[in-house]
Amino acid sequence: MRSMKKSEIAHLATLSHLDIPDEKLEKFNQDFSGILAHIDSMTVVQEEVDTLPMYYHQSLREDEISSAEDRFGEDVRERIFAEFPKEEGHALLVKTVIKK
Amino acid sequence: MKRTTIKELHESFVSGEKKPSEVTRGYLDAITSKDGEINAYTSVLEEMAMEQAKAADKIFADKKESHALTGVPLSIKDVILINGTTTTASSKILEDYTAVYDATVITKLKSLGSVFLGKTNLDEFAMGSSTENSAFGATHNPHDLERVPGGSSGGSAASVAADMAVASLGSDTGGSIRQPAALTGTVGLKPTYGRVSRFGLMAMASSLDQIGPFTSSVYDAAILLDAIEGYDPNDGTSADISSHKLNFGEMEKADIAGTRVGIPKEYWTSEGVSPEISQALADVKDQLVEMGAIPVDITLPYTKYAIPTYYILMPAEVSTNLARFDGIRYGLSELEKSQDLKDMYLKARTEGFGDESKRRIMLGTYVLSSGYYDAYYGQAKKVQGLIKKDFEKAFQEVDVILTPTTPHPAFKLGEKNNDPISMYLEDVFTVAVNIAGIPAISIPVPGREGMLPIGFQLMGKHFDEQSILHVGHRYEEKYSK
Repeated sequence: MRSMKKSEIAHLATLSHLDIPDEKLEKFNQDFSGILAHIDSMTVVQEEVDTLPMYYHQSLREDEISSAEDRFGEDVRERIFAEFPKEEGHALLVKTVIKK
Repeated sequence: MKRTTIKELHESFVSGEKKPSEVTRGYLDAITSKDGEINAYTSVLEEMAMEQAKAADKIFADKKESHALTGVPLSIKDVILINGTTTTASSKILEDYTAVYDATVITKLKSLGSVFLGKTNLDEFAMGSSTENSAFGATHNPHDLERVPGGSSGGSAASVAADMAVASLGSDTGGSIRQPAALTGTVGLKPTYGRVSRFGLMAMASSLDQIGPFTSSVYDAAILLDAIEGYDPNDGTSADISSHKLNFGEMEKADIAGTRVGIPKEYWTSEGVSPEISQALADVKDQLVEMGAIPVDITLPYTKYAIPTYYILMPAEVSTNLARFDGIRYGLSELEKSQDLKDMYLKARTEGFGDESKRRIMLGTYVLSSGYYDAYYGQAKKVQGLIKKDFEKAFQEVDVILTPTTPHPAFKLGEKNNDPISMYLEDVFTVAVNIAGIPAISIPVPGREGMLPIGFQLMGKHFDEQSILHVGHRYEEKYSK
């Protein structure tokens, strides 16, 4: 069974924008290792699938340009702004990213 | 427990025997008296429901044209948007989120005069098979309160099973309608991918998700499917089904003699299936044969890769779909506690998501990451093609395929919480259907009063809901009434 290091789990959490506390890392590691062992059973079909294409069954329509107001109503902008946790003059307020 | 069907209710509204507002009041009272111990609902929409019911009263009083769903009280899985109502996906990250538009299925039901009793509980973001992963507490199986109702649409299933709604809408990505239907003794249908619009359904795995009905009869499932299906320009993956509309006349009148029923050995000889389920399925097969169906032994050889394929494809899409929950656009925000933007993302997501959601996001991140993408995601997409071919080949020889829905009846609350693999294997008979995009329905095995419910599953070819509904309805008419 493949086992991952705690540091690998911690790295995955960082990539996923999640913080897994130390006390939970071991459990996550165990769970992950078990899941990976299960999905690793897929590798037995390696030879059969090597030459196959990846499968996609959707066919998507062409992009169509339309205005938000036409589709969602005249007050769509106000409704979107109302969802911001903090705003100032219709600008979304966030914490500083680049410090001077 | 004999529950009212959509069909019966509509007849009583038309005859004047009952009024929608009285029936709705009755269901709201049932929710008040029963849901304290079942926890099927995340929110009850009492005011909206009574307004809709009174509007329906007027339609019948004025003898205006009505639909079978006019005035019928429904519950809706809390992952489907109803404008102006709280829609949480049973997650802390969306605890206070108010929907700003109606899902297409809701728009359609509103136009028919349906009544929405409330939003139902689920495993957070539809990830789970027990409805224990909800941020708002587990739902309990009405047949045995110490057991799970299944998941992720456990609240929807429980609301119908406990007679707290006439029918419900759930969603199914790997079995999340069919499995809870089997564990609660209700009918649950997953339509062909693309048959029902996903506009307004909070996405879990966009290439696998479908909205579908929970009902007390197969005929009711057909009524609800007919109402919610259809091409939607707002959903780029929705299909034109004009040549596949349901034929209710055929469903009601034609017998099923000569229907070829596939018996896939991989599903019937699977390890870990309880003897109770195996015996029940054998009985159902014999009953169908008695009705003139022809059993045909078939093989679906790539079945054994269905769970690993699903648990690569689904988390990959989950990790992408849940990236939008960043503490900015909607939901929980930790703005005041954060040092910078990245910290804000981290705190909102860590605080807002439960462990199972985190596990699946991280798994998806892993299988899509550089160095692993080809080995996992690329491989899984190829195996998906092989699983789909399995079904295409089988449907050249049969009309429908008969399998168990679940490996065993409802398990106890807490029994599988510490073992994700054991929980994932609850979907062993359902995930291949989503991978292939075909329709399937779970129907209660009759004659189990006083026992835990069991379901059997009928699978059909793409857009052939007609066959599985026809066989299911005729079976139900003969053995379940």
